[in-house]
Amino acid sequence: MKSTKYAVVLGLAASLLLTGCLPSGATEESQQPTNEPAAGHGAVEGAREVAEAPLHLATIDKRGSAGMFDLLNETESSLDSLEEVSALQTDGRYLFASTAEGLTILDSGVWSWNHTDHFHFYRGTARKIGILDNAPKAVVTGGPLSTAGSTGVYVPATGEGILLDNARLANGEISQRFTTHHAPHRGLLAPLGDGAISSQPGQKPADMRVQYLDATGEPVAGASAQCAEPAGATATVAGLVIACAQGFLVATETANDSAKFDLVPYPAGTKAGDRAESLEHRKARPAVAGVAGDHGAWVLNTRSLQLQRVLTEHKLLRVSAVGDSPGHIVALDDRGRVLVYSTTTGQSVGITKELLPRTVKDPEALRGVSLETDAQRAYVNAPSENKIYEIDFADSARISRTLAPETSPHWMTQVGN
Amino acid sequence: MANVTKVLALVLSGLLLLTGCAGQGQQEQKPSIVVTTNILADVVTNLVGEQATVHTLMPPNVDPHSFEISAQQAALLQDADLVVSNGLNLEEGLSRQLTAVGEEGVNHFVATDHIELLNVPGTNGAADPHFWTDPARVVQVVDALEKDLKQIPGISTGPLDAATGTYRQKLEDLDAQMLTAFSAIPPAQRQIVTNHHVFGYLAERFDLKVIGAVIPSGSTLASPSAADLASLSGAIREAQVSAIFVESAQPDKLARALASETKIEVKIVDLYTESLSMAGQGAESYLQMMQANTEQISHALRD
Repeated sequence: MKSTKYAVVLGLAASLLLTGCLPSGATEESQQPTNEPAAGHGAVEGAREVAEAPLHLATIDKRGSAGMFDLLNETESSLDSLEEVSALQTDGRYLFASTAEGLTILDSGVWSWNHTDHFHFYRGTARKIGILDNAPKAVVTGGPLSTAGSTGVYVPATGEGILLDNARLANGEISQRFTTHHAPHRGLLAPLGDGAISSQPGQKPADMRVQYLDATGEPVAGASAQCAEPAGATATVAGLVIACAQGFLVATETANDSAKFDLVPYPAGTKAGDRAESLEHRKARPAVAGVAGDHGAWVLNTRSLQLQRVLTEHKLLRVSAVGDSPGHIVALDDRGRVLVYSTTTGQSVGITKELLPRTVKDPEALRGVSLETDAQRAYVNAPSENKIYEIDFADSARISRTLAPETSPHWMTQVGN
Repeated sequence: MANVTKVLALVLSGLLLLTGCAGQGQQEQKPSIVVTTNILADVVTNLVGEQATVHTLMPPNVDPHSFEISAQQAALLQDADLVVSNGLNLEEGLSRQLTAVGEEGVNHFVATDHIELLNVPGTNGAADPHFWTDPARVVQVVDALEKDLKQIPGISTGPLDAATGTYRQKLEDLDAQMLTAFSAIPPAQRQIVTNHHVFGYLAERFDLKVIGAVIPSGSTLASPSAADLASLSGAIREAQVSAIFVESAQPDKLARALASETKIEVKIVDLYTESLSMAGQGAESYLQMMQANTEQISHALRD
C-alpha cells in the first residue's frame, strides 16, 4: 500500500513538470490540487467501441455486494459494495442505488449510443462515481443518452430536485446543471431536450402542474400542463411520458426551445386504485406499460397516443413493454408466473410455470424484484429462489436461460442498453 | 517492491518531461493541420509529408459519430493553419467546435463538399458521409485538398505537387486493383449481407448489392430460437451467399447458432469500416484498409 502511494505522488509530480512545457494558459488549471492520479479520469477515454450492445445484469446481494453478469459470454465481475440498499434504478449505464449514505452512483462502464438510425456500443471501466447525500428515496429519471444531456434526481421527502450533467458523470464527476426547490411532494424532475420537466405542488390535486424549465432552470412561459400526483416518468423516443392522476402526459420538445404536452386521459370511470404507479419499457422505445391495479395493465404508445388496457386473470406485480412489432408486453403475476401478451394480435403468447413462488409471498424479497426487457429477452430476478430467469418472449415465453450469478440477485437491473 | 515502484516512477517522469518539451519545439516551426478522422489524417499526411504537423483528433478504433474532444484539442483547432473534416454530420460530437472554426476565420476543408454524394438507402434523402469506401472519390478529395494546402504559408509547392502526384497514382492503382478483384466475382454473387452502414459508395462504384440484416444479440446465442435469427437467415437465403460481412462480438457462436437453428453454413467475415487500426493490426493506413477489405470480400464471395 505504501509503495502505491509513493508512485502516485511521483506520478503527479511528473505531470506537473510536464505542464511547464505547455502554453501558459494551461498551467494554472493543471496545478490545482487533485486527489486523483494523473490517469484517474481515463474511464471514458479508455472506453472502446464494441460490435454489439454489451448487455449485463447488475445484481446486489442482501449484504450489499454488487456484481455484473455479462449476458454475452456469462463472465462475472464485481462492483463497489453498497450499504443498506433500499432501491436500485438505472438509465442503462449508471446504477443509482439508494443506500444508507444517500444516492450512490456507480458507472457500470457499459452503454449504447443511440444514433437515430443505428447504435454504437461501448465498454469502459466500471467504477464508483460518488454519493449524492440528502437524497433519501430519490426518484431518478434518465434521458435518451448516457454521455450527453442530463439525468433528473428528485427527492420527494425534501421537494429538492437536481439535474445532473451526463457529460460530467461520464468523467466521473457529480455535477449539477441546476437545482429545483418546492414544498415536499410526490413528484419528479425529468430531462427533456436541453432542459427538464419539473413537478409543482398545489393546495389541491387540480392545482398540481408540470412545468418545462429551460437549460438554465428557468420556467418557460406557456410550457406547463395540469398533472396531479405524478407517479412516474420515463423517456421514450417519442417524448417524455408522465403518469398523472388524469392520465398519461406526453411531453415533447418544440422548435423554439419550449415543450408541448399531450394528455391521454384514463377512460371515464377508471378508479383511483387502477391508475399506473410506474411506467416500464425497453429503453427508449415508444411503448410503455404500467400495472392497472388488480386488473391487468395499461399500455400506451407515446407516438400514436393510443392507450390500451390488457386484462389478466391474476393481479400483476410488474409489467414492461418491449415496443417491438408484435407489441409484446411481459408481466409477472402474483403467483410468480411470467406472462407474455401481444398487443398487436390481442392474444396471449405464453405463460411460464410459477418461477417465483416463494418470492411473491415475501414482501421484503419482492421489493427487489425487477422485470427488464431488451430487444430479444426479458429478465426477472427471483431473490428467494436465488435465480434470474431469462425469457424469450417471442418464442411462447420460453425460459431460454436460468442464471445464478455469484452475487445473489436480491436487487437486479440491466445495463449496457 | 517499494524500490522498484520508485525507480519506475522516476523513469516515467523523465520520459514525460523529455517528450513534452521536444514536441513543443517542433510545433512552433511547422504549419499545423488539424484533421478529425484518422482516415483523412492519413491522406493529408501522405500529401504534406514532413512539411506540416498533422494532428489527428480521433485515435484509431474510435467511432467518429460520437467522438468528443478535450479542451486541449479544441485549442489546437483554433490555432490551426487548416482544419480538415469529413462533414455531413459524421463528426457529430464536434459540430459545435467545427462551426466555431469557421466563425473564427480558420481555414476549413470539408471533404464531402468536393464529391458527388449518395443518399443513405431507406432515408428521405439523408446524404451518406462514408465516401472513403470509393477510392475514386478520394482522388477527387485529394485534388481539392491540394489546392487548399498550397495556400498555407510554409508549405512549398514543389514537394507538395510531387507527393500528391505519387499518392494520386497509388489511389488510382488501388481503384484499378479493386475493380479487377470485384469483377472476378460472378455477378450473382456480388452481394454483401451486412449490418454495417458504410458500404454505399463502395457498392455503387463496384456494382455490388448491399443487403442489410439485423444481427441477433449475443445474449441470445447461448439459447437461440429461429425467431432470433430470422432477419439474418432471411437475408442470407435471399442472397444465396456463402459469406456474410457482419460485426459480432462472438462470430463463432453466431455461425454455430445459424448452423444449428437454420441449417445455414456461412463464413463470417469482419471488415474495417470507420477507423484505421492500430499499427500492425492490418489497416494502419487508408490504402491498407481498403486492400484488406477488398481481399476479404472478393476472397469470401468467389469461393
